[in-house]
Amino acid sequence: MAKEVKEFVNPFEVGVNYKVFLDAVGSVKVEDYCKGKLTDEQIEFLVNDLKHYKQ
Amino acid sequence: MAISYSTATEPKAVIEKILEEVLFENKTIRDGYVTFNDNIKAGTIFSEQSMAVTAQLYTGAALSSSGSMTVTDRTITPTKLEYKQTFLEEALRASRFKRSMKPGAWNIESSEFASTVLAKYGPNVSEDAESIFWGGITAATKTAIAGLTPGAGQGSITAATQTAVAALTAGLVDGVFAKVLYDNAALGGYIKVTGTTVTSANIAAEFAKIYAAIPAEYLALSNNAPVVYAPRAWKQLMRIANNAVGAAQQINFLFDSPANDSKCYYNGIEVLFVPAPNNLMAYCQLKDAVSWNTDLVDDVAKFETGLVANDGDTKFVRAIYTLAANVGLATKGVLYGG
Repeated sequence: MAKEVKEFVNPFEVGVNYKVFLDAVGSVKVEDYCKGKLTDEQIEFLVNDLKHYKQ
Repeated sequence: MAISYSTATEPKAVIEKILEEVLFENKTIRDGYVTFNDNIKAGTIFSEQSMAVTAQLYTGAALSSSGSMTVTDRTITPTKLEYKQTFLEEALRASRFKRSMKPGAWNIESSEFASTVLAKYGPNVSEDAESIFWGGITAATKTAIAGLTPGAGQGSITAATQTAVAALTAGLVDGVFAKVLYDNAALGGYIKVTGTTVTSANIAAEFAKIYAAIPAEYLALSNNAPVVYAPRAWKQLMRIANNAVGAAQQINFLFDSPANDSKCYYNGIEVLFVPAPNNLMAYCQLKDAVSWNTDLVDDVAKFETGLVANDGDTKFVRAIYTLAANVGLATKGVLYGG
């Protein structure tokens, strides 16, 4: 059975809000999900900003 | 409200000068930080236009229309605000101010009180008007912003900004920054630059982000250049950054003189220091696009006194003005900390 590859949801793209992003991240840590896809500065910003996010 | 006066006991000699509170002068009005539209009673129409043109190959035949012309109207009715206090000069009869009262039990009006204390009413109202113009936010706008789903990218408000807005005290008028964040029942169309806590160590780097996001057509303007409206506290950070102790000096912020009140520029863009709602946001825009809309600009410096009732001595002091902040060309404005 082919392994399902989910496309990376870039939180910095227009139209992607935190609800959409976190639904894509699922149970994975944000840092791990974004590693290699975003810069360290972007990941640091995300981690800090998500502390303010109340779903 | 009665005059709150802590008098000296058994006053002898008096130092003539009364130490006055230090107020921010309303530089938004004095130095023309924005565009001023007066003579507005209510329901004034503001219009914005934009146009898109598309080149097509000439064929000699009738081509289809391509491109767009857009005109957007909005109606503005300034909010009418009033300030009022009552006071009884009888409270001054045992004070220094008795020296300027005319003889007679009927006479408790002090010319010194009028010229040194009461005269400060206008400047205080003007300072407050400026704070409201830049930093005001209504409860409705706070609620609307709290209801947005935040995000990191363009087109979403950051979660940290939502938290910062929630911490603001609701007032009577939506000021410039509130209008930039949320306008026409939707998130503002600003160019977003994500922010952080600005310090003297990082302010140059953060300003570089703002500058990099300014639309190129704005930077190409020879007159009517864009300006950055920054929190007042950032001026100190800029000065400290320019004169970092122990580090090689790198002047990122150009002050046109060593004087305290000199003009400041970053890469040719003037920085104007305003009472922003907090120290986390700055906004770059054309002065033409940010407007102070009112019936009469001078109303903020005007006040009136009189008797509350003809058969009493309690007096009132009142000031009245109207105010609406408007921000146009929203999609070209750069909001740091949005």
